[in-house]
Amino acid sequence: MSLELRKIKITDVKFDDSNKIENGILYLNKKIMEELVTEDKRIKSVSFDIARPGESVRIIPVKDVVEPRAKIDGDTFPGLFKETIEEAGNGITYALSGVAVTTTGPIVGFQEGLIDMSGPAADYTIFSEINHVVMTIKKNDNIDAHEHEEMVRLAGIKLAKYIATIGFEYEDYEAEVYEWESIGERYNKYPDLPKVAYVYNCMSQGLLHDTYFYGRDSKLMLPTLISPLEVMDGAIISGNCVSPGSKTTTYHHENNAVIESLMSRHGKEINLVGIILNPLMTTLKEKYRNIMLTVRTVKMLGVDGVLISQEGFGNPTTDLMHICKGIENEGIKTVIITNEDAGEDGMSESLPDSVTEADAIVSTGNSNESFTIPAMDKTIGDLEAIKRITGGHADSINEDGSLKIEVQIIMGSHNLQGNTFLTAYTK
Amino acid sequence: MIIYTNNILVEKKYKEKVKVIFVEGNYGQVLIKVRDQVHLGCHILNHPLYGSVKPNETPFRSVAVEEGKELDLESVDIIEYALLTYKKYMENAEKIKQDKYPDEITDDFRMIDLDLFSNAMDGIIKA
Repeated sequence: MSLELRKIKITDVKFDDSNKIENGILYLNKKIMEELVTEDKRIKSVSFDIARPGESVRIIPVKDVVEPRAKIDGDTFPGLFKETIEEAGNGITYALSGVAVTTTGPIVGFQEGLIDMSGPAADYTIFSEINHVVMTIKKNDNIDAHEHEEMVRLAGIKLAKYIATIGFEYEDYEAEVYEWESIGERYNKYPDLPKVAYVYNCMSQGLLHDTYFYGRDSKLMLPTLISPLEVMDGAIISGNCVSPGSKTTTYHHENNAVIESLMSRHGKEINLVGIILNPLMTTLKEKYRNIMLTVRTVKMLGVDGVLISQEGFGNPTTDLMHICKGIENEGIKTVIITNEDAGEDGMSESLPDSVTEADAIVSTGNSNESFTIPAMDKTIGDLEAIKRITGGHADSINEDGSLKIEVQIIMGSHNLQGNTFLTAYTK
Repeated sequence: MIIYTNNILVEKKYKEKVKVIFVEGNYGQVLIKVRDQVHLGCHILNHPLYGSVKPNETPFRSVAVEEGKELDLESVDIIEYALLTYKKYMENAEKIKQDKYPDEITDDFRMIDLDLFSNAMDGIIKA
């Protein structure tokens, strides 16, 4: 498996009569985008907006953030728009970095996710540093919540995929070639390096709490060995937006920080031999089956160390801890990544489950940390939503327009693959 | 199997199939009912902290248990941790004013709860 990822750095986005990229500026035709998105007859109307780094702009509530990616010779985000499925992770993929398609608009009454493009909240999310093509979608009557969620999710991916094709003619890109050989080849290639596996947890629980693998609901899958290259090609997308700080958006999947970090060390410090995608389900039977299968796969890979990333909080902490326990009991060193809910003062017990074997934890921060953010000149979406979303409350809006928030309201603020600014370095 | 719920949609969907005990109370009161049964030997079937809507946000909770005679320590661990988590969220929530949700938002919480619970139960009971 070999993937050439051609990254085009987009520095600005403007609406224009035609679609093109010139000198790093992405020009988009609203009418063409509208026609594309409204091909889905469930959609009543769509409107577009642009939010740029440094602007006094707030986007709320955010559903998903998608980096535009498309293949010249194949299908990114496979399994979504065609019945046939091509294996992702081969060939040439264009990625427009510095820009994302960001979906907003109500699905259910409680809404999730805030992105500020400037001010103190901007320091807490990677999304303040990229341009956003914000899409507000309204549904036709008689579309239920499940259809509505699917409609918004697919529209975001479809537009992102389309925008990326504009890059095909643009020659100013940085290319990186990734190789993914068979397990045997990787073992033989770096016999002296420590062998490492990555357990990639994903939410799989129901409406607004789902993940899709090759377009299919991850609730229907078992823990599966996957390739990092297919993740870069959009084989995993997010259907998950409740509790925004700890959710893996599609952008986070495409740019999985654990995968990027492991791949950059592969062949130098470590030998990355496998990634196991594990669905986080809610019945105990399914949890324990998936824990057992994940631990067994790790054991069969014969690795020396494992890294586990988390998604969500609460019941997924049980999976996280028990996978860690199972792997550690096999004598394999394990590190887990999780956020903490330790209360506003940081004094509450921070995890809803724990095991003594979890002796190496990377924390992505306390999601209840609170602070005040100033009013923005422009809000895309609905500011009132803040009263009903995780990290906001009825008194969140102060008289002067500033907002009292918890850090977890910010989209991706403590992303659990570590793609976050909440970080610490040791020397 | 017994389902403890304060969600009328869950009661309606499952009451013809299994024993459903409707709890006139909040999220925490459902957990307490389940906790009491766990200490009498019931095994928990679905994780009580399912979903990502926080205990201080959604008023709804539905937990299925299987009757048993021996104490299941794993179930004890899970329900006690869930109650601690619930209390933590409620204590922290008391420091801030929660919005009084209008009926349509309460309906949305009810619908999401039914969806998450039904997805969990799909592997156990068809209804």
